Amino acid sequence: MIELTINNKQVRVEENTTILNAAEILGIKIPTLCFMKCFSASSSCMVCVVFEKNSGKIVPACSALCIEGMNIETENDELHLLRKNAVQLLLSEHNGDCIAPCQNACPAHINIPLMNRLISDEQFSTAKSFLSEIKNDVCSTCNLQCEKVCRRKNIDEPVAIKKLIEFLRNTNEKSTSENAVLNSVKSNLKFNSSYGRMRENEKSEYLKEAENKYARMFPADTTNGYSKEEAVQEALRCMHCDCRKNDACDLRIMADQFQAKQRTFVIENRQNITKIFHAPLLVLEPQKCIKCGVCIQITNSSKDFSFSFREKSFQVQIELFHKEEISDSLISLAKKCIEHCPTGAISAIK
Amino acid sequence: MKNYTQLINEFKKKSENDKGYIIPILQAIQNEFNYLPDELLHEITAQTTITYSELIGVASFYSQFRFTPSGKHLIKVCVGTACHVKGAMHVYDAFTRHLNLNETEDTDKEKLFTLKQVACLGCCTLAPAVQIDDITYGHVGQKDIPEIINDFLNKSITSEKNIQKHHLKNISDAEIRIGLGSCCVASGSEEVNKALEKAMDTAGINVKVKQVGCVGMCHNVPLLEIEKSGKIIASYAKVKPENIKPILLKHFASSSVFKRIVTSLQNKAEQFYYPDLQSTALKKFLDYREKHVNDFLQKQVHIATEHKGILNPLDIDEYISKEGFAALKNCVTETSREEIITTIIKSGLRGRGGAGFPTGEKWALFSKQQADEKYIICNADEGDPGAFMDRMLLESFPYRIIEGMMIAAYAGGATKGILYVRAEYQLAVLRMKTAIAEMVKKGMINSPLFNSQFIFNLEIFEGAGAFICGEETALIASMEGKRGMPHIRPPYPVQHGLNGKPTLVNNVETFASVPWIIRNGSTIYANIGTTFSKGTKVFALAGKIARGGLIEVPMGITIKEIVEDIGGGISGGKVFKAVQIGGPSGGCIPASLSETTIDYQSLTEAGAMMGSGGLVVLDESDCVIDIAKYFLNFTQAQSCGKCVYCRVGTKYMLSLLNKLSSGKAKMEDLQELEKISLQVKKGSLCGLGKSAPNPVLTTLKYFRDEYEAHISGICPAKKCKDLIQYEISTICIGCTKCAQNCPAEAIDFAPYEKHFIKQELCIKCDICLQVCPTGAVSKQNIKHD
Ligand SMILES: Cc1cc2nc3c(=O)[nH]c(=O)nc-3n(C[C@H](O)[C@H](O)[C@H](O)COP(=O)(O)O)c2cc1C
Ligand code: SF4
Ligand code: SF4
Ligand code: SF4
Ligand code: SF4
Ligand code: SF4
Ligand code: FES
Ligand code: FES
Ligand code: FES
Repeated sequence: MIELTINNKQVRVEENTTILNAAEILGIKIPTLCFMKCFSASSSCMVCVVFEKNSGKIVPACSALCIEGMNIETENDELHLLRKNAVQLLLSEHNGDCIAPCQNACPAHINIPLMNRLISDEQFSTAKSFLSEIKNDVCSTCNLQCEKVCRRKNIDEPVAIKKLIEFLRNTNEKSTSENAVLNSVKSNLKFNSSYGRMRENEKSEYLKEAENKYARMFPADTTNGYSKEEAVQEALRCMHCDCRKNDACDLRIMADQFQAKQRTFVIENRQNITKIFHAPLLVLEPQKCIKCGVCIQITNSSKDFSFSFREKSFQVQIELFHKEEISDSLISLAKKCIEHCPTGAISAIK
Repeated sequence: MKNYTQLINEFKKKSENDKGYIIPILQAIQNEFNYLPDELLHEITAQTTITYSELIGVASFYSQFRFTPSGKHLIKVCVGTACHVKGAMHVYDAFTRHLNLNETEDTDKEKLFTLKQVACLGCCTLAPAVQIDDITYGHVGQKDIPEIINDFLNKSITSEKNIQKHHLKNISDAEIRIGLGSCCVASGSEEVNKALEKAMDTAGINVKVKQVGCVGMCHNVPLLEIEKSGKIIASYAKVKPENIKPILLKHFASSSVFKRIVTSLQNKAEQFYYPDLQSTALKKFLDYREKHVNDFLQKQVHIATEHKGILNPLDIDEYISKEGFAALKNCVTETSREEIITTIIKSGLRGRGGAGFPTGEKWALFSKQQADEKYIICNADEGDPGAFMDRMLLESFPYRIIEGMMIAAYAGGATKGILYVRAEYQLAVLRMKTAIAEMVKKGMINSPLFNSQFIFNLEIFEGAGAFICGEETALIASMEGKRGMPHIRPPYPVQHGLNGKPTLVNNVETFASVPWIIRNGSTIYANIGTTFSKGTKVFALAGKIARGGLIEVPMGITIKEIVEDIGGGISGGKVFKAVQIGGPSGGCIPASLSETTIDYQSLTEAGAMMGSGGLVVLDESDCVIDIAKYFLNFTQAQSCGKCVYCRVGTKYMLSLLNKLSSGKAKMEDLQELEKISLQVKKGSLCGLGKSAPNPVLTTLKYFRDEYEAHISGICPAKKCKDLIQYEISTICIGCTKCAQNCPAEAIDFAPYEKHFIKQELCIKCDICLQVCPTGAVSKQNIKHD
């Protein structure tokens, strides 16, 4: 048994216990990001750093082992700054939008990308429910803020958001008053990752999930607006800029917790955004990866479907290798990765 | 085409665990094809338990491997520290232009040459150095490149084998020694060796020629020493093949010829002279009794490099005759394990790999571990871009290193040793392999040693090119077939190392010091040095110094003594500015602090580090921001990429330094740089990240005014490209030389009139300045104070 002190409280633990576990015994909570229970710690995010007073060393609690006589402090200004900066450094190499620019710009904060997806799936009534809490005249006063920032604009024309909203208002479908979708997307998270301008070679990545045959649908009926078919067609142009995990992303949660800013550290040459689809299993967005290595641990013995890091240093990137065949066991592996990936780097396509 | 199934099976047989041979098998493929063909990677996956992901993860981590075919020949431009300060990037750029490569290419259209940057070819005294396949070129100037490429294409490639074969019978009591360390070879000692053989053939002289390892005086290579009746009667420095005949005749030929030579050499004293008669600078003869030769040697103490320049590296009998293996024998036959460890503890020996952990204590911890298998690893992954001590030790004293390892193994109760050597160190690998084979033949390895129960087994593992694998936990990870990512300690390798077994990791130099300590006793060793730093340290002395080389100095010597006495001060009449000590983890110590002593404590207090032993001397023409940027670029690129402070933090630091060197930084950026540097030190997981900010922090501390000058747009050393321009002054004689050599056609010229540089075309390649015979070309800050 090893005896040590954490925040002036004594604790006795078995050998090979981490400081994180020892703290837990005392009911002391240390923030973590890359560490996940049931997996071996990679200690890459440094959000869990604690201070060992005797040696003056700062160590990651998730993997540092308890040593007899340690005197650990889990909270002090220096640690707070280190934790916050660790998150801010992660954010400075993080390329993606938590919330789509359109939604972000909308004064009513309508979840436009989701609305578009529902329209394209012909779930008009659910889509309409998005508008139920919003005053009718919002759009008439806001001067198309959403379309001004729509990322589709970089490729051809912005998605005709206002027309789609008008279409929903005009359609005689009833809005589902009580609906799960609406509630599920209500998140309290405030932090928003945003990567700035879309680059030339990122366009094709975005178009992987959008219709690209035409620039913008013009309604045949100019007075009444889109028909259902036209609305579906137009909604299909939306590129799913919002992050698929924006309601549950641990990085976003941490960023909120530490009030982190994305542009504290500005680094030359950000990496290009890529979206790698392995339908129907998952979509991988390596630029949202925080290098926790959990997906690698999950898939490490599979020859048909496995993740690995490529390169090292700042260039390091998560990569997926897979064979074309899809089996039940692969589906469950993929699900596990989606579930455990702490960010939107690995997510379910739908 | 080979049968790859067979190859894979061969590897499978060697190790019970598939993962253990990932790196060796990739190396075998890479050696065969010069790259890793994808089909073969799939083949491995099909036949073993290794997944394709693992292969890609590992292969992409190490710089030795490539995924695309390379050219027929590999050009390695050294961008190590010593070469960097002597303009290696200009040389690299010139090769790029010569081979017509664009930014993304590394191989020319004809697929003849692939161009690569490497850190330290280990002949820093010949900087800038370039290696094409096996041939090394020193002092490479940009304008020499076409000539070098031609020379290479004409040369037949010599290999170690034909160097080895020549052992003439000793007919007299004389001996000619020629150094065949990497520096020596690079400066042409093989040619000298061949000329020697030829001259002896034609003149019918038969003297024993002995190839010895690094002599240490790398600034004087090729070096030839002549010994008669056990005494060195003459030493020739910077010998050229054409000098051989006169030298030979002088000492060994018939009297009539001898006379002739003597007259022609009348005015030269006998002991030690430069035979290069053309150069007046070199005409000056050197005498061992003369002050500066004396200084170079006198302040040194040879322990790890004992008998340097005398031992034939691979002659085991000679090693034995010079007390070799006496320490080992004493340990195995007469000393208890505890006594050995006590001796090492008392000697005060600390690890020479950088961190300086007390060696005896580590051995004691190791010997206490109970396990069915324990390993000894000799860490020879020397990756500091300006250091080559370990390589020299491996090349010159293979038996001594093995002896040290075996003593450690015996004392620690281990029987299996692994020598982890950088794959780039081909000569070292070859010598160690031969040395092991010799010892197997002698019944010292793989057999009971000195009739005891102790049977030692030793293998070589070639590292695949990743600086971080010098860190012990990363080193072990790479041996287990993983990406070389460190993990937090504890558990220390001593407790939980290779394959989960107790593993003792020590540095080459640490092991090389052990036999001496055992033979001479701990007290004598502990009397050398300071209170907390005992014994000696080997340094690779290079940079802007008159006499560079491999030196072994007692702890406690001052920087000044090293630079001025041993190194002979700054070359070229410039002013001494600083020493960069400890490589990428170390720092810059300014000339004003040159009384600082070399010991663990005072170097750390000064913000630097003992590190591995790179010692690069800087003069006034070196810009500290350029140096800080150079090292940070290195560590940043070599970060394993695991923890965020090292992976991203150093990248951010680099962004700030780039801002500085391009004159775009503001005063706040300095504070920002300092703040983030301190945080990277605290928040990184392993020694690489924890020490990466040192070069930045020390330069910030000692040369803040220079940083501030850059903020106002001025580079005092005129090094930062964005801040300077090339100008031609009125002393130009209009010789058109610069214009002819300018790769950008940026020089307007009319013969016999002052030339003029068109700034918008100039690519700042420095050639005009180098070729101008009158010194009319100069660098000027674009902005003036
Ligand atoms: C980034 C990094 C690089 C290192 N490189 C080397 C190296 O090239 N050679 C070496 O012996 N030790 C190197 N070390 C130190 C080793 O981790 C280890 O401490 C050493 O091999 C132990 O041997 P010693 O006690 O004899 O010094 C390095 C450490 C770090 C953090
Ligand atoms: S991964 Fe997290 S932080 Fe990144 S865009 Fe998605 S929700 Fe935002
Ligand atoms: S493409 Fe879709 S999600 Fe992206 S900004 Fe435009 S409407 Fe919003
Ligand atoms: S993809 Fe997700 S699970 Fe995999 S390493 Fe990146 S953040 Fe971790
Ligand atoms: S400090 Fe750098 S090299 Fe060390 S573990 Fe972290 S990322 Fe890897
Ligand atoms: S003028 Fe410029 S480009 Fe031309 S040789 Fe001189 S430095 Fe190079
Ligand atoms: S949670 Fe410990 S380092 Fe990420
Ligand atoms: S040979 Fe270039 S730095 Fe050593
Ligand atoms: S390598 Fe030849 S003297 Fe150093």
